[in-house]
Amino acid sequence: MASPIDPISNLSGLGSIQRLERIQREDASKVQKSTEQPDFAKILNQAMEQVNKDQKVAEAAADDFAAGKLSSIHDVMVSAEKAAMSLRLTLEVRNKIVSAYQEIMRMQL
Amino acid sequence: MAGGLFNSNFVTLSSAMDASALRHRVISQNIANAETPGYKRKEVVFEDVLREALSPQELRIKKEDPRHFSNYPENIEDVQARMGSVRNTWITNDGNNVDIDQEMAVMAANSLRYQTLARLMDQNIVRYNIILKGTR
Amino acid sequence: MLDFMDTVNISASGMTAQRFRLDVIASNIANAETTRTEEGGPYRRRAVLFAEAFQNAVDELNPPDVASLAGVRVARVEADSGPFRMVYDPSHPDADENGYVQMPNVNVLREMVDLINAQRAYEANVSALNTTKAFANAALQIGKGG
Repeated sequence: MASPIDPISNLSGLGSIQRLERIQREDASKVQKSTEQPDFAKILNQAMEQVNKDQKVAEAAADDFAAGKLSSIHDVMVSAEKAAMSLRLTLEVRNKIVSAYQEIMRMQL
Repeated sequence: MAGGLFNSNFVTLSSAMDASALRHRVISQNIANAETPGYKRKEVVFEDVLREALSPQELRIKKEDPRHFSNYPENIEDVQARMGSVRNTWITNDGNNVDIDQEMAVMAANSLRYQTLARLMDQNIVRYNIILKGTR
Repeated sequence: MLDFMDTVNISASGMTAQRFRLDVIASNIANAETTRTEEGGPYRRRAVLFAEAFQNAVDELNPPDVASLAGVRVARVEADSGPFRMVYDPSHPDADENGYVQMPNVNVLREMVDLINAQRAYEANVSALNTTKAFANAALQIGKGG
């Protein structure tokens, strides 16, 4: 496999999944090149957006099921569980960040 | 009731659960009267009505059609389940059109539906508790 | 929110009605050969007539709504007015001058079919009642989490 950074013009001959993977690696390497250190605010924002999206997807699926539009029970249950899981994950991350911050504060004193 | 602190799920799920419980009562009535002369099976109409209330675009198109009687409410909160008799199905000699097998099948599906809605409502509350309490 | 107790009562009324019908069928079968009854004469077949039951009075002015559904009731027990069976048996103590005996107007095969139907209807009501319990349990789980 070639190096992670390929010119976009070389993508035309590839299958779609490989194309997506290459684009993802390109984006990731671009982000890392532009900033010196990881940007926590940006990571947190992206995580919040994802969590929000998960909630909206779950709520829409539940409304659709209630209206008889969606008949697949496992689909609606899985999306509800995913939304709860991503919420719990965000909560855990937040709690860990808060306790790490508190520890740093203690050390400086 | 929707909006503000509570999302639309609280209204749609609880009213879908009400309709499902209503439907189960009507199915129970059908089964109890499976041998009553002249009895016509009853059913509950709800999901179509809720779908209309949730999709305002479809509602607007229908309202512009002069032939259409709009029984569909615009607010989710106003959606109500309705009961009616079904008269155009095959009947036995005494005028009874209840098919026990059909009622049992509808009852099983409806029961599963109710339990799924209850689980979804529970999940909805769980998510709110995670946010409010800050713990899992 | 819908009260499940009313729904349970609907199924209970169905079970009661079918049990009563089973008793009547059992009586018909048991008396299929009875030529002497207390009223005199052969046993006459009995049939149960059901009617839909409501909690309040229902007519054209008051069409039933879901809240008033109350299952089924026994409207009356009818005597089958069909003719007695004439069976040729001169040796029978109740034979008439021509040797014929009036036998009950009970067709045992038909009673067996009715019995099977009543049993099936009874079980369907039991199934409905168990499903109502499932509804109540599902509702009780809401808010418990997990």
